[in-house]
Amino acid sequence: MSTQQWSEEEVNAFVDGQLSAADRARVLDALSRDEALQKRVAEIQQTRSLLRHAYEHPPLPPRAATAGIRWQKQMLAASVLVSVGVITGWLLHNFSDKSAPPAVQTVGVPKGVVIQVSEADPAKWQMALINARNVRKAYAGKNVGVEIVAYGPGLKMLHSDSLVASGLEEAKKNGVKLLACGNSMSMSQTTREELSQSVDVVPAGIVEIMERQQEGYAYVRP
Amino acid sequence: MKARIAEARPNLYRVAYAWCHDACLADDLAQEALVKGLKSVHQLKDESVLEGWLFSILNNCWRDHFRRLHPQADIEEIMELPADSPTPEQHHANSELVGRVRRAVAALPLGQRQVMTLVDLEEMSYSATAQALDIPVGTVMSRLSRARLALRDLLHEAPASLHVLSPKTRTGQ
Repeated sequence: MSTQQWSEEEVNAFVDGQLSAADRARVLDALSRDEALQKRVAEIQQTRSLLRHAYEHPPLPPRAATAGIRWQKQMLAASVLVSVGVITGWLLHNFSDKSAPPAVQTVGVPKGVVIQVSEADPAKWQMALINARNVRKAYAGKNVGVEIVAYGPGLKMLHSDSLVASGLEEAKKNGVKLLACGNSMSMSQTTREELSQSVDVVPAGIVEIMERQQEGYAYVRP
Repeated sequence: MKARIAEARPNLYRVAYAWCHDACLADDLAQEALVKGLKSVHQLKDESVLEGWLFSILNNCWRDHFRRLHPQADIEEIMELPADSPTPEQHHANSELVGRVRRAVAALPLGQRQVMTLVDLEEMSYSATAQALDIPVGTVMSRLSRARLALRDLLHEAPASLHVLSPKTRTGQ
C-alpha cells in the first residue's frame, strides 16, 4: 500500500483531526503498515510543532518591550485601558479588577510534552531522558504530562539491557511515561520481557504521538 | 463575554504577528480587532464561535491595512502572491530555529500563512478557519497542504539559503 491513494489534503486533514470517523479509521489502519504514510504524517506533525514553537513567544511590541518584566502586566493593562477606555470607558471596572491579560505571553501552561525516539542512538536516548527530566522539573507540581515514545530503531532504548536502563527507572519514578510501540515490537520480534519493567506498551507509537499532539502536547524530537 | 474577548488578546496578537512579522503592526491589528470586537459584541449570537468571530475581525483589519497601503491592488491576488513581507525581527528570535521558521513562514503567500497559523497556532477547525477568513473549506485545505509542504522544503534547505529569502522591501514602507 502506498501513500498515493491519500491526497496531501487528506493526510493533512487526518493529522488535524478533520477527517470523518470512517476516513480516519481507514488512515489509521493504513498507517500501521505504510511507512511512507507514517513518514508523511510525522513530517506534518513536525512542521506543525515547529510552527507552534516559533510563535510560542512572539516578540513584545516595542512600547511594551521597553518596560521591564515586572511592569509588563501593569503597562499592558494600562495600554489596553487607554485605548479601549476612550471608546468604552465603562469597561474600566472589569479590566482593573481582574487586570487585562498581558498582550504577549504563552497561552497557559502546556498540557504536556511527547518526546519521540526513533533512532538507535544512545546519545539521543540520553537527550530524551534529560529533556523529560527538565520538563518535569520546570513544571514541578503542575499537571504537565511527559511521555517518551520509542519506535522503530529507537525501541532499543527501552530494552532492559539498554545503555540507558538505569535512566529509564529514574524517569519512571519521576513520573515520566515510557512507551514502546507495539508495531515496532512485533516487527522486530521483541517480547515484553525484553523491555525494561518501567515501560508500557502502546499499539502504535506514531498514533500515540499524534493523539497527544491533538490533546495539546508539545512534540519534541531530540 | 467581554472578559473573554479581552482574554483573547494574546491569541490575536500572536496570530497577527505570524501574519505580518512586525510587532508594532501586529499590536495595532490585535488592538483594533479587540476594540471592534468589544463594540460589536452584541451582534454575536452564538458565543461558541467567539474565537473564530474575533479572527474574522482581525482578518478584516488586516485587509483594511492592505487596502490603505495598496489601494489599487486586488486583495485576492495579494493573498496568493509569493511573499514580499518584512523580515521577522532578527534580534527577537532568540534561537536560530525560531528565526528560521519565522523567516520561512514570512516567505509563504499571505493566504497560506493565514490558514496555517489559524489551524496550527489556534487549533481552529477547517470550517471555523474558512468562516473566519471568508473562504471555502476546499481553499483552506489546499492552502494548508501547500503551506506545510513549502515550509517543510524551506526548512530543509541550508540555513544560508534561507537568508536569501529575506525580502527586498518592507511592505509599503
